[in-house]
Amino acid sequence: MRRHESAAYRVAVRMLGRPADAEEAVQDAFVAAWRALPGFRAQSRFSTWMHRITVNRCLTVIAGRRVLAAPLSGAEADPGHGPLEAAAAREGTRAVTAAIESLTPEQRAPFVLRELEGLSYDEIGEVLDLSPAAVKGRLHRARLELVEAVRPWR
Amino acid sequence: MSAPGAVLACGRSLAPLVEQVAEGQPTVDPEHQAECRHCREALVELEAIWSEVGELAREDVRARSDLVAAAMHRIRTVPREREPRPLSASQVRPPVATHGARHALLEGSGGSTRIAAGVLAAIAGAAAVAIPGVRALVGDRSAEPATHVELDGMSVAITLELEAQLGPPLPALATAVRAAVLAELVAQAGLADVIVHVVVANVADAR
Repeated sequence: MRRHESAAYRVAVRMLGRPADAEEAVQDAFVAAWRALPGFRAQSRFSTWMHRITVNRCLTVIAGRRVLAAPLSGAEADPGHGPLEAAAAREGTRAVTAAIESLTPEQRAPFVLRELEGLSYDEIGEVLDLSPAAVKGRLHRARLELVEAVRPWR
Repeated sequence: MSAPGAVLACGRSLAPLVEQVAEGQPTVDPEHQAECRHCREALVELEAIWSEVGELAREDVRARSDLVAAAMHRIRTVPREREPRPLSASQVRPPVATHGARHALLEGSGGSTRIAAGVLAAIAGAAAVAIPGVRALVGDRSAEPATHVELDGMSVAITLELEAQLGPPLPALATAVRAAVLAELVAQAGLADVIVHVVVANVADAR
């Protein structure tokens, strides 16, 4: 379990920004994985399966946040005070971190898995339940969005 | 560079340049790129962005050291399922017997809201089977309704018959079911007055 902990946490912190949220999501993911382990079939690698559970957990957390944060949506418009700011330890990566946060969750997940975790299109497809072609399309749009989002920071 | 799908001043699209840098793909149009100031400027900016992405990817992000221990603690306190248990259709909408009114009635100033007893039973059933140690509502296995709903306006008395897992103490299980069902009925159905009777009608081994 420890072997998969850091990968799961890295993905969660990039998806969610706040370390506390990421910790909780990873714990939830491990508990869910452990409970579902008897249903795990070795069709996919365990790490891919673990990514799948973690990413789904993160998407659920984000969906819940949207509901809670709906009346405060004005606050999201300010890119300077996003929660990922705290996670970006270094000045050089601050712009990219903020830009990743500004992606939609649907774009952020493939971007994080590909660019930060180095998964293949096939693996990302398994994690997100998408065809490799669909992964490629989303990733492409995510990259273009990211370039746009980074510019005000540079 | 501007909006996604942007076209550079030279008339070329930005998109293939992004893929070229991000995926390390071969240059689509090497002769043009060698000549074109706009493409080269865009490539320099993209290379800079992707070098920051690479730096971020190499950043040492670590969870706090007791994260696994915390998850393990939660796992030890939650009984493990033999197999994942999807909600069956009957768990979503269990067989229900109604007593008294067939709808909960919520009066509002602009009109009334009525919620069918079966909906309350579904909410209660879903909350109950989500509790570890509850194997099923008994009505899932037989023609007899597992859920009885007695309604009077915003007051509801609900009786759930369930099959428990053999082993853990049943009074504690019933308390957990009661608390979960109560919370869901108040939160989801807006009921003011909820009584939850739990009937442990069967036990079964996890295997």
